[in-house]
Amino acid sequence: MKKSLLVALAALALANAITLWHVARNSAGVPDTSITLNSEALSSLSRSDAKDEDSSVNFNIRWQYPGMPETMDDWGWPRIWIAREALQRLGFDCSVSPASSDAQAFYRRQPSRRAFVAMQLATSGTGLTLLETAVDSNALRGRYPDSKHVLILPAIVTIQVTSGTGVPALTAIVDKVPTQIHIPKPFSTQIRTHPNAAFRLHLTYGSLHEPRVTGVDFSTPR
Amino acid sequence: MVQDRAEAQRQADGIRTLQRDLTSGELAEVLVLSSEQKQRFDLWAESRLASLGAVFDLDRNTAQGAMSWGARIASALGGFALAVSLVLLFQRYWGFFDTWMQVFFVILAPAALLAGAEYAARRERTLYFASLLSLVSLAAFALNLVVLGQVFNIAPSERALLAWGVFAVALAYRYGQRLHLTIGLFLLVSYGCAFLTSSLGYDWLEFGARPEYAASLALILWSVPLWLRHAQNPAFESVYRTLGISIFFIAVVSLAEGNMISFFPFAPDVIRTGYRSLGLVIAMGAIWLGIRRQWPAQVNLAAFFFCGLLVFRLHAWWWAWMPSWLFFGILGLFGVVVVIALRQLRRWA
Repeated sequence: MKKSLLVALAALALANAITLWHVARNSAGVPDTSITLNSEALSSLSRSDAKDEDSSVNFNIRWQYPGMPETMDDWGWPRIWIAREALQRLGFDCSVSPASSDAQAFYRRQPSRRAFVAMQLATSGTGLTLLETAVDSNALRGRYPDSKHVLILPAIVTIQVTSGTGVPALTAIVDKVPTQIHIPKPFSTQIRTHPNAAFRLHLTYGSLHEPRVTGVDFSTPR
Repeated sequence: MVQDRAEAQRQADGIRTLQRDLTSGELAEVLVLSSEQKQRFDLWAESRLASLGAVFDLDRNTAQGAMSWGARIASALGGFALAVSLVLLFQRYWGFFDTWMQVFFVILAPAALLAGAEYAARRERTLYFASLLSLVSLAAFALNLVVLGQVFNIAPSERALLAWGVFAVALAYRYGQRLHLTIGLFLLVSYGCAFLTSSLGYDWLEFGARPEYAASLALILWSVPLWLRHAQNPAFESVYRTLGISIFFIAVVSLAEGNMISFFPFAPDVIRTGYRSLGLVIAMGAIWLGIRRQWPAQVNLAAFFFCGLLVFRLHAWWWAWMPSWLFFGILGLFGVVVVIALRQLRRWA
């Protein structure tokens, strides 16, 4: 009986220790990326219900597929933006022709895969555009060494058959990109006290591709 | 030595029934005790009831039993409500705290609530407050890892399920709570599925997409009481079996009737047909074993899933073309056949 209490306490202590160690690892060493985003690149995640029950300040970084919105199909999904070879390199089985009758079922049964995405910041700082996906983050950084404008982030890629161009073809949906940013104090207080002001958000991405807010400035009036 | 409240309650109920039957009813006519024998029995019965009552807070009659159930339900509901309240309270004010204060609070909260549960457990035999506080402590631990993840922008990981599962199971064994065990085992099975999914390079959040993981882990869960005796918590054996068989059949039904992904390299129709047959056979086997071993929860669940699998099939085969009255009539007849089959099985057992 006493053993189970010790196990409970150990679970509490270990989980917190591992999490804080993970945070320290991400912050240690040379940052992967230091990037500055304009407030136009961010959408607010704070709830706007009447009871105002969430006091935190959170933003989501806007991003888009290459060539969007022109390359969007009727369902809002991207048309072909990724080559079949790139999908195979991610681990997808592309052996069935997308034009075949059982292609939809074949590709729908393939689970999503973990990967990394390279996202480029627009020169105006108003959003990110997807450049490429790969299994290896170091290889991506090697191909896109500009750490002031290109972010490397983990993501989940799902293969899909699209017929947006009239001819069935393979494409990919990129999902679960960690674009949510929690703004800590004192930056959150500044944003809360100037709700309509434009600002620039300075972010540093550590070795584990997780962001940390390093500054907010209100130098650019909206 | 009785370790479990349920077992103590069963013994106390048995003694009281015997006491009552010996003074009135048929037994009093068949088994006539001398006044000395009766006195010795009464002395033994009172002393046994007193010793059981000293260790466990036992119900003395049906009304007290109903009250105890009410208190247990209120404790669980209260625990859930307090857990939700704690999360919402934190959410309402955490934005006004510095990061170190947020971290300090979320780490301290589950530990403090666990200390409260421990204090309550030492003060009361019924463990209603210990159960309630430990449930809130579990919610505080969930809040702890979620908030740390959010504050430091950490990508969600399946490892949190492992931490929560171990914590919940440890609390269950500490306070003898079946609800905590159910939550903990469910979290551990989810972690197992997520870990296996993630280790194959897939998104761990899609751990439900391959139900064969869940079915395999559920069988392991079901088998736990076969190789791990629960002398102190005999009621836990039923939790392992019930949860194991529920998860197993949910996985099999989703493979048999849904569009889930299987590891077997066969055509989807072949896989679905295989799982339909397997589900029916295993359900029948589980009913038979449940009757033989006197595991009523397993018998009921297996019968439920057996009927569920049959209804799915009958619906797929007949609903589209058969008149509705005839379809439901045939369903009713199947129900009668199942009852007859179960009665036969019961007789053999």
